[in-house]
Amino acid sequence: MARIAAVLGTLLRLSWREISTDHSIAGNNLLLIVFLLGSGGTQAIVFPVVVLGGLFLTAMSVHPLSKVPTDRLRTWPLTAGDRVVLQVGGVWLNPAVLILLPLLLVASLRLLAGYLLIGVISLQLAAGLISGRLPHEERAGLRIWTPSMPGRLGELIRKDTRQLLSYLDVWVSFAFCLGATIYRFTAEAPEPEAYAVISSLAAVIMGTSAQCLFGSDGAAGFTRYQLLPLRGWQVLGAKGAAWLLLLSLQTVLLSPIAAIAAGLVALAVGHHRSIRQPLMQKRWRFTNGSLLMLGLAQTTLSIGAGLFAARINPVAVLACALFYAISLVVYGHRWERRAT
Amino acid sequence: MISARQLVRRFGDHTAVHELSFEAPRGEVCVLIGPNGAGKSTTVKMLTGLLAPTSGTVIVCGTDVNANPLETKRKIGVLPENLGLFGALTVEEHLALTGSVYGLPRHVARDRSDRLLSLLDLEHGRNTLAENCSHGMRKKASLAMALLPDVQALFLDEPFEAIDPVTSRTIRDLLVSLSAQGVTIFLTSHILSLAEQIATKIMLMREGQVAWAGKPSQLPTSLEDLYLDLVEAPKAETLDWLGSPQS
Repeated sequence: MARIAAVLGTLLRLSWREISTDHSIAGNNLLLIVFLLGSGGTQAIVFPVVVLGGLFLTAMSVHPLSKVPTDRLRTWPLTAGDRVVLQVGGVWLNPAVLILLPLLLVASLRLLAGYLLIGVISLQLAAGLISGRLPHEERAGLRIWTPSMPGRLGELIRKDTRQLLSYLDVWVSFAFCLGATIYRFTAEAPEPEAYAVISSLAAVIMGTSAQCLFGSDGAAGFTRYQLLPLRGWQVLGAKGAAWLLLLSLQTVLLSPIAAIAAGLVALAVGHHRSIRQPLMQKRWRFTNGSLLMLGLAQTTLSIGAGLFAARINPVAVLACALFYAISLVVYGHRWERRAT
Repeated sequence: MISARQLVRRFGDHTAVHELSFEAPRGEVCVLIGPNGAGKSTTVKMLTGLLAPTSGTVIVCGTDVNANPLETKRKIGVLPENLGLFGALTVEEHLALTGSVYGLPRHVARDRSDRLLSLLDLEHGRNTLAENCSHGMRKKASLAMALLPDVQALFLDEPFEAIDPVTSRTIRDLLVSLSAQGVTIFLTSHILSLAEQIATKIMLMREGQVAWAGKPSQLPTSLEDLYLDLVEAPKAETLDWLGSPQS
């Protein structure tokens, strides 16, 4: 019994640490967008909050036992019965469950929390079943397919694309644009004015990831960048290319001009934090950036640039490109200085 | 080919490397030996431009490493301490990345990659993401990245650690042949026997300073005896709780 209590205590500590250290959503531009939508009435924010909350809880719905290295778990002197108790007990120590359980006490949220709790527990059980059937290599980390890219920086762009696809922000942006694209082709009288707004908002949603371009590289990745015979602007440029590629794919059937203009501005502003305060980011979480200063700047400047380029003068894209190029050179130089 | 003059690196009050000077001409295999924390990896980082020295200069292949880092990087291959791999790329993608960044034609990079993967017994892991590789596989992948471009000098931080005996032998023979081709090699190691076999110059390092340097033929005694004498002696301790019956 003492053995099981010790392991369960460790799982609880790991889950609590995850809850207490994951403040990503608090530093994400999505929060600004929710506030923007909220200014139009409470009803307007229900859908985005449910989507964001659902995504966040889904990402956290991993059985806490998966945090214990498999080989370590196998070497512990636990009986088959002990392992069953850990599997069943561990489900209740999952970070998402720990967040939802107190909500059961709030009468108005009881029903919603109950449904979510059932969803989270089902997800953990399903993930456990699927994971048990996967070969070891795939279980260790499901690879995101990305095509080979041409050019000297092609492989770096491929790597950066793969890293970006492991952030929830990018998938929220994809879902947002997919919804808008479906609306465009299925609505009886779609509103063309909306496409530029949606494309610019997509750039803002992805904007926080532009504030942490080195967030998935780690110390080893930074060392490799230091060793490669590349200028700072080339390193940043490869990351920007991957980011713009993903944004362009989402908005190609909406307003690509607005997206590119807004995206170039979001990237140019985001360089500041990527270089000055590079922070590690967790996979399958929202990225964590500076909300009040850079987030606000990205939101206002990107939406302004996107709408101007789409509605008033498309040549504004060139001005955005110039702004981006200046930022690339300035922060590329700073990166080189930091790299030695 | 490699010239270090009065290299010093301080971290706050701690001096990690103190006034290190040495020369390694073309084709030299210079092996730096010392205990953990002696300053070996800090030395490699300063020689390769990964870390700026507090004072002193490094010239590699005729280029000042700190004044012209980009030019230096084009001439050297490095196996860094933390291996410098991206978790999101496979072994093969790392080699393709190296080939394209160093400007090798795609078919040349592919041919060299195949040969290196075969040589280092890494073909089975070519499509494995770096984050899913074992430590030995990652070390081989990083070594392959150092060997892929046309470089004049190699800097290898503990290339034999976590490598199986057969591949170790392969790497050892490869380094000897590269040295004969004129490539200058600077490496760190804890494996004294290997160092003795391939080095044309040995440096023993202790607390950031060179305790002894010379050719293997100049060793006054065996390398192991000299190391234990000059660098550190083994500690003796009995863990009396092990082997006793469980309560």
